[in-house]
Amino acid sequence: MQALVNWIAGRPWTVVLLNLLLGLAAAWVVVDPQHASLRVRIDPSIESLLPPDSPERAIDQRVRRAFGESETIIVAVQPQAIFTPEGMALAQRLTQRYQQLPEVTGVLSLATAPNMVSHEDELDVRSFTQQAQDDPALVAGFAEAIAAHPLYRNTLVSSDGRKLAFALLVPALSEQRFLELGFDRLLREATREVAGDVPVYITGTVVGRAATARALLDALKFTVPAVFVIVLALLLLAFRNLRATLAAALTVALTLLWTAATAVLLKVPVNLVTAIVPALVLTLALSFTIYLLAAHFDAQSHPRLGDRGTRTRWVLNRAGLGLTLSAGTTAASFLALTLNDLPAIRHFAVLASLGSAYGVWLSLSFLPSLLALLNCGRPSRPPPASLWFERLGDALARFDQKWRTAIIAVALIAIPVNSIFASRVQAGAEFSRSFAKSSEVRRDFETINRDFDGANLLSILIETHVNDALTDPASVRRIDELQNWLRAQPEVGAVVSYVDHLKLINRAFGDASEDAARIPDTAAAIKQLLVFGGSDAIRHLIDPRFRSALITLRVKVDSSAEIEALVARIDQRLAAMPQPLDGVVSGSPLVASRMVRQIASGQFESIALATVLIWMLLALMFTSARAGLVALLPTVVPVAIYFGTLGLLDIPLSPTTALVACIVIGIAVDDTIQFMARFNLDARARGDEAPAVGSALRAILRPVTLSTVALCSGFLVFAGSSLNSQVQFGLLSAFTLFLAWVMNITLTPALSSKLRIVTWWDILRLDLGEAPQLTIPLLAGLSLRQARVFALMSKLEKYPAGALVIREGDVARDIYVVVDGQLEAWVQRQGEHRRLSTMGRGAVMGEAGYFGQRRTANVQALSAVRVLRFDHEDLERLRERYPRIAALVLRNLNRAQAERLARATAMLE
Amino acid sequence: MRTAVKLGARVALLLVPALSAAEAPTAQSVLQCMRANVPQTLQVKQVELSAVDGNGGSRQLRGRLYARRENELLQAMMRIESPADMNGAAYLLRQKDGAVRDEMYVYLPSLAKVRRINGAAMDGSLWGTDITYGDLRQITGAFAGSDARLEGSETLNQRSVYVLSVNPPAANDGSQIQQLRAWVDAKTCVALRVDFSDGKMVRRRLEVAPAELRQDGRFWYAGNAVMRDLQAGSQTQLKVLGVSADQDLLGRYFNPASFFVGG
Repeated sequence: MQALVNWIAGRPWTVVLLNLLLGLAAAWVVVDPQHASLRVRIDPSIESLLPPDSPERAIDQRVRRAFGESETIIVAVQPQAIFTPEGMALAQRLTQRYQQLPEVTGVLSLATAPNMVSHEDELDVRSFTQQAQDDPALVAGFAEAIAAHPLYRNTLVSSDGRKLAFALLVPALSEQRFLELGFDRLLREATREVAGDVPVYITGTVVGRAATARALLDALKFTVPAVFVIVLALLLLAFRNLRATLAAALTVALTLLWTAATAVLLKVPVNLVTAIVPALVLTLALSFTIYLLAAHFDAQSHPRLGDRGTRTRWVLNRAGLGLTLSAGTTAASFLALTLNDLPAIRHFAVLASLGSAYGVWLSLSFLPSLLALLNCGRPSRPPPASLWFERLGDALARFDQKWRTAIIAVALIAIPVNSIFASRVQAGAEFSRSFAKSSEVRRDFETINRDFDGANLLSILIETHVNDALTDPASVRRIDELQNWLRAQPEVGAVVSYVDHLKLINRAFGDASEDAARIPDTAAAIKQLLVFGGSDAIRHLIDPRFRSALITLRVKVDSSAEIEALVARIDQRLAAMPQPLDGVVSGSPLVASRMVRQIASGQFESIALATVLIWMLLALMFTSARAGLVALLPTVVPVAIYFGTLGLLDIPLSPTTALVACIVIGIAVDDTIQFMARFNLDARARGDEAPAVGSALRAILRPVTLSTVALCSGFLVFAGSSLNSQVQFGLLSAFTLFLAWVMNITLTPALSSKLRIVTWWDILRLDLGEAPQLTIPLLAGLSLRQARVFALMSKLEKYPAGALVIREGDVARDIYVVVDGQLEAWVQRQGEHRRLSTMGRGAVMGEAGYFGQRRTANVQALSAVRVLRFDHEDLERLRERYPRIAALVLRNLNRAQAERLARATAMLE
Repeated sequence: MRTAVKLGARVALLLVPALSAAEAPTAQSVLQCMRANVPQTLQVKQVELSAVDGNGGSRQLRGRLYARRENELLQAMMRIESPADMNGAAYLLRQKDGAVRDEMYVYLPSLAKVRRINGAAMDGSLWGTDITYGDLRQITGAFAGSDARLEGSETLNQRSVYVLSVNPPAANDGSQIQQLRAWVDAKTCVALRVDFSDGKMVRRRLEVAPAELRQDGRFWYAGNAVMRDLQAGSQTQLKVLGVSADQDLLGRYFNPASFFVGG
C-alpha cells in the first residue's frame, strides 16, 4: 500500500497523463463523432426494467405473437359537434389525415368501425361516416346506437358525447422514433390542419414512454450541469483557490466520463433507474474531492512537508484510509442491490459502485498529482468559516460527551419506533402521476381516462390447449359470464372479447325480429360466424385454431396497488373457471405493477446485505466486530428514520425511492469513517480518547458538513425534474443524508469517546522493526499482526537523545517496552550519577510503577528511541477486545517479572 | 369472405404466354402478358388455405373455387368442404364496374341463411387470413385499371423478372394500400413477389417460389403462394391443388339466389 502511495507521490506527471489518456479513451467510447451524439442508449420502457425471463414478459410476448402488436395511441378531439353530418365528415377527414402519419398502420374511429346493421337479407357493415355520407338522416340515430353498442360505447365517442376518439395503430413506433418524429406535435398539427383549434388529448403506452424518455433526457440535461455548477461553486467557496477548484472539477468530470463509458461498454441503457447514476456519481465524486482538498490544504499548514512528493505522500496517508473505506462501503452498499431481480436495479448498482470507485481512485491519484503539478499553495487566509466550524466542533464535542448516554438512548429508541411506522410502507407507483399535475401528458391521460372509461389496457389470455374449444357454446357462455363479472368491477371501464363480436354477428345474421344479441346454440354456427362473418378485429381476439382468446379490459385506475388488487381478484375468478378454460392476466400496467412488487421484495434483502457487507468492512478495517457495529449505528438510525417517514407519510416504495436506503447507507457511513479515522489518529497521538473527540470534530466538521451540503445539493437538483419519482428520490435522499450528518456529529462522537480503534491501515503502516515478536520478549508468541495490534492499543512514543523518559520518585503506572534505541537507567546518590543498566530493544521498564510503587530510577534516552507505553487501562481494554493477545502479553509480563526477581535473588545470594 | 376471390386471383396467375423477345417490354406489355394467364372461364378444384399466426397456430380450409371472368369482371365462388363443421359454407363475389361496390354474399349452413354484405372494407381480412379483398382484386385483375410503371428488370431467385410498380385507383373503400410493386417472371408472366405498401412501408408481401410455378395448357399459375403480414408476423399459404380452365360453368354458381346449393 505504501509502495503505491510512494509511486503516486513520486510520479505526478505520469499519473495525470495516464488518467487523462483513460479519459480520452472514455470520451471516444461515449461520443459518436460521426453523428455528433452520445452513444448512451435511452430506454424508458417499464417492460425492459423486468428480467427478460420474467413470466409477465413471457405472457406479454406470447399475447403479442398470437394476437398481434396492440400498440395504440388514443387521440381525443373535441369538435363543436359530433352527431351532425359535418361532425361525421370531420371524423372521416381526421381519420384519413391520421392514416397519412408515419408509423400509423390503421385507425379505429367512426370512419372505420363498422356499424353493423341488418336489413332483411342484407348486412350493412359500412362505417358510421360512410353511412352518414350515403344518408345524412342516419346521423341522428348514431348517438343512441353508439351508447347501446357493447363494443363502441365510450370508445369511439366519450361518455359525455363531446369528444371523438381515434385509436391509431402504431405497432412499430418506439419511443425513440416517437421523439425523433415529434409524433405528438405531428398529431396536434394534423388535427389543427383538419379541425382548427379544437382541444386535443393524446395518450397511450408509447406516449407515456416517450414523455418519460423526454423527461429523463431533460433531467439529464438539467441535473448534470446543475450538479457541476454546484461542484464549482462549493469548491470555490470552500477552498477559495481557482486552480484547486478546476482540478477538482476535472476530477469529477473524469469520474462521470469513465462511468458513462462503462455504461456504453456494458450496454447499460439510461432508464428510469439508471438515469439517477450521472448526478449521483458527480455528487459522490464531489464529496471525495472535498475530503482530498481538505487534506491537501491541511498539508500546506505543515511547513516541514517541504517538497512536493512528501506533501503528496502525507496527503494520501491522511485521506487514503477514509476515502478507500468510503469507496469500499459505498460500492458494497450499491452492490447489495444486485440481489434485486430487476436488471435495471442491478445495472444501477454496478454503475454506481464503479462510478464511486472511479471517483475515489481519481481523488487519490489524479487530483493530488494535479494539485502538486499546479503547485496549488496555501490560501492567503484561512478557509471561510473555519474558525466558526472549530468553535462549533468544540461545543459539539462537549455536548456529545456530556449527553452521551441520552444521545445513544435516543438513537437506540429511534430504531424500533421508526420500524413500527416502516411496517406500513407499501410498494407502489402511480404511473401517470409520475408527471406533474400541470404536464400535458398527465392532463391528457386523466381526461381520456375519465371521459372514455379508462385509458389503461389489461388483457386476459384464455387458453384451452384444445383446438376449437372456444367455439363450444358452454365455454363461450363461461367467457361471457366472466366478462359480465369483469364489467361489474369498479376499476373496469370496458371489456371486449370475441364473444361480443360473435353475439353481434349472430344478431346480424339472425332474424330481424330478434333484438337481443345472443350466443349461438351450436359450435358449428359459432365457428362459421367467426370465420365468415368476423371482421378484422376478431383476429386480434381469437387465434385461428379457436384454442386461445384475448379479453381486453380498459381500467380506470393507475396505481400499481389498485391494479394489483384488481388482478388478484381476477386471478381468483379465473381460477374458478371450469376446464378446459385457463386464464391469465397480462398487459403493461400489470408488468409495471409486478416490477414494483419485485423491487419491494428485494428491498430488505438488499439493505440487510449492504449493512452486513459494510459492517464486515468496518470490522475488518477497525479490526474489531464491536468497533464495526459502533461505526454502523449512526448510519442505521437515519435509514430507520427514512423508512419510518415513508410509512408515516404514506409514500410508497417505488423504483426510485427503493434506491434511497442503500445509497444513504453507502454514503452516510463515509462521514462516520472520516470521524473515526481522524479520532483514531488524534487519540493515538494524545494517548487519550476524550480530548480526541473534540479535536477530531474540529478537524472533520467542516469537510463533513461541506460534503453533506454537496451531496444534499446534488440530490436536491432532482427536485427540478419533471418526473415526480425523481423529485421524491432527490428530496428523500437529501433528507436522509441530512439526518446522517446530524448522527455523525452527535451520535458518532458520543459512541467513539470511549473507544480505542485499531485500523488495518495502522497495522499495515506500523513499523516495530524486524520481527518484533521474536526480538521483543513481551511480544513473544504473538504473530506480527497481533504484535502490531498490541502496539496500537498501547501508545508508541518517540524520545530524542537525552530526554528523560522516567523520573525517579514519580507516581506513575505505565510500563515501557523499548522498540528501538538505547536508554540508561540511573540514580543520583550523594551527588553521584550511578548507572544501573543500559537497555535496548525488547527491554521492559517501569513495572514497579505498574504495581503501585513510585519510580525507583531515572531512565534517559541515550539515542533517539521509540518505546511502547501502556497502563492498566490499556491492558484492560486489550483484554476486552483482544483477549488472546492480552493473555500472551500478561504471560510475558509475568515471565519478565519472574526473571527479574530471579536475577535480584541471585544478586542477593 | 374474400378469400375465395383471392384464391381465384392466385389461380389467375396461372396463365403464361411469355413476352415477345423481339420487343422491348413496357408496363402495358407486361400487364397484358399477365392478363393472358387468366382464362375467360375457369374452374379450380381443391384449393387449400392455411393461415398461421405468430405463435405457429394454423387454421386450414379446403374447398372448391369456381371463378370466371365475365366482361373482364371477376366472379368467384368458393364452397368449403373441410373442416367438417364448415362444410357447405359458401362465399360469392361479383365484381362490379366503375364506382359501383362489388357484391359479396355469404352462406352459412348452420343458420341456413344467405346474407349480402354491404360495405366491407377493402383492407378487411378474408376469413381471418392475411389476404384482403383489396389484395385479391388487384392480383386477380392483374393490376388492371392502375397506373403501371415498368421500373426495370432484375434477377429474383435466379429468374429474370420485370419490376412493375402500380398505384391502385383512388380507394373509395378505406384501403390503405397506396402502391404495389410486382416482380413478374419474364418467362411465365406470373408475379413471383408482390409488395403491398401503404406509401410508408410494405405491409404485406406475396411470394411464389419458382419451383411452384405450374402450367395448365397455355396458362401459368402459382401452385403455392405465401402472403405474409410483415407487421403481425403471420402468414397465409395458398395452395392450388388442381385447375381446369376454359370449361363452361353453370351460371348458378355465381347467382346469389343459388350459389350455395350443393352440387
